[in-house]
Amino acid sequence: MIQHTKIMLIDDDADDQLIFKEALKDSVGILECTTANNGIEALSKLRSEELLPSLIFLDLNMPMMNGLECLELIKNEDRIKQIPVIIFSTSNSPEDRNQSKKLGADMFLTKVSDFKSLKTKLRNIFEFDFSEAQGPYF
Amino acid sequence: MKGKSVKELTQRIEELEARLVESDQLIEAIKAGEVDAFTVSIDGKPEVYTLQSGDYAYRLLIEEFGEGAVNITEDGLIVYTNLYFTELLGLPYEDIAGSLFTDYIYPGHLGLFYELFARAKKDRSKGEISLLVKDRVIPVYISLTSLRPSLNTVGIIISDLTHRKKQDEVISSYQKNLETKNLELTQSNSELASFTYIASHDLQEPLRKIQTFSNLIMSKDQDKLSAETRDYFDRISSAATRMQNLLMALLNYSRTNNSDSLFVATDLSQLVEEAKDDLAEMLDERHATIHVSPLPTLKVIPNQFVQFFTNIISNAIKYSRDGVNPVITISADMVTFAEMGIIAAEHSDHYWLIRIADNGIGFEQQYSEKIFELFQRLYTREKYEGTGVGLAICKKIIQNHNGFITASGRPGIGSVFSIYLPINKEK
Repeated sequence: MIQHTKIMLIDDDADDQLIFKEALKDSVGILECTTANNGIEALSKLRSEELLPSLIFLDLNMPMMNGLECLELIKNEDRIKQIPVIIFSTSNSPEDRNQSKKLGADMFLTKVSDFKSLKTKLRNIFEFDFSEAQGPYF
Repeated sequence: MKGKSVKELTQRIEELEARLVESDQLIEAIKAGEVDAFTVSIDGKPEVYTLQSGDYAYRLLIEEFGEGAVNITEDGLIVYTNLYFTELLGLPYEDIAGSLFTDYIYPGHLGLFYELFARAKKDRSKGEISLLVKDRVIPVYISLTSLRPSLNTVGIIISDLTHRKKQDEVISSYQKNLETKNLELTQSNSELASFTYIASHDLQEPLRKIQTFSNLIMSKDQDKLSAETRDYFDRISSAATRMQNLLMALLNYSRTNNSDSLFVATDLSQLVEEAKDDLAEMLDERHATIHVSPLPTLKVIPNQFVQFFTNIISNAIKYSRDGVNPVITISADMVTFAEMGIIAAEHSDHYWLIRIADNGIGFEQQYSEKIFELFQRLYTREKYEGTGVGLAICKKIIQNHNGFITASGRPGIGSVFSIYLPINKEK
């Protein structure tokens, strides 16, 4: 099992941030989770922080800079491009999936209403070794 | 002839014969143009017929004719006008006779008139122009004929088109109105479709939160809650789930359009099989039987038709009678438009009629239209689950294929859904 000590959630929705953190706490225990409300904020945090997150969860539909634009910038910046990015969105449209995959996302996680199933999915993700994997996983 | 002598009678015959000869000679003379005038005794009074009076009927015809008639010189001077034309212009005869015909022509149409006039001098011509008299524009149809070689004039028959033009204007304004309405309808339809899409998509967000937070509470604090509170949370959760199903159905409905769908010649039996595969579990569980007669190959949007059969079959199974295994029969027939008894503006002569009959609970015939409306349900949710969108989607799919769908039902016996798909009318 990979030891994640710090992750980042980029999501403009306060409820979703809360739900995510609750699910995270219940499924994989306490770890540092930086949040950003949009792509611009996320990039500035990523550029300034000394310790980079080992996973990024990225919402698609956000103001200022949407998820896909943010994804493209992350995957084009040498210092951060190796961080696995998991799209975390309500969208289930094939266009969004294909576009995310094309821009270098590693996994696609659809937001669900069932809290239990979110916990299960997070547990699986945290046990997953992205470095050895042949992703992306969609 | 009683009491008359033979001599008297013979004399009478001779008289008549003589008059007959005279008449014959006169007729010959008239035909040869040798006679200018002759007198006929009628009831003892002499009546003079001249060449002039012989034309009387024709002159009367022209004078009283229900169309304008004028005779103009080759320089355009009016030498004769009939009554109708003076009335049309609203001017006295004296003013018109001797004036130029071009004085009454709408300036913008003078060129056209000169063209028609030039052609008429050689032969004849016809066309539509407008007259202008005292600020009044009169649309007319004129027919010009050269009266050469007898006369060096051109005869013109003028028909007033004011009435017809007005009718044309009314028709064209109706037509424009209709086009505008049509455009508005298309716009509002597409607005509605995008509204439905956005609404159902965006409405799912807060709903998801309601569901997530209520099951977050349940998963964290279930033990601390009273049985009553737990029941309330279950109710919140199931109401939210139901609403989510409705929104999903609405989203599906709004997505059922043919904007980017391809029509492919497909064996409908094949699509019924696909629908059966999708419903395999349900069919098995409810011991349902489906009889499918050979179905035609038609140009359809395949995935929409699979959806159609899936909805209509699952509908039949959902509304089956207690204790009666569902039996569904699907058959096809060719019918003419007249046989269908459907009122529609645009149609084809022949249609494929696909009938889907079941032995379910049926329905009262008065609901035969209502069942296709969005969110319409004939039965309580407790008894029969469903969103009330399935048949609305069916109707939309058939409309996307330029077809019609009707339903007939008999309570306690079953329902028959009939779809009519046009033949030889490609979409």
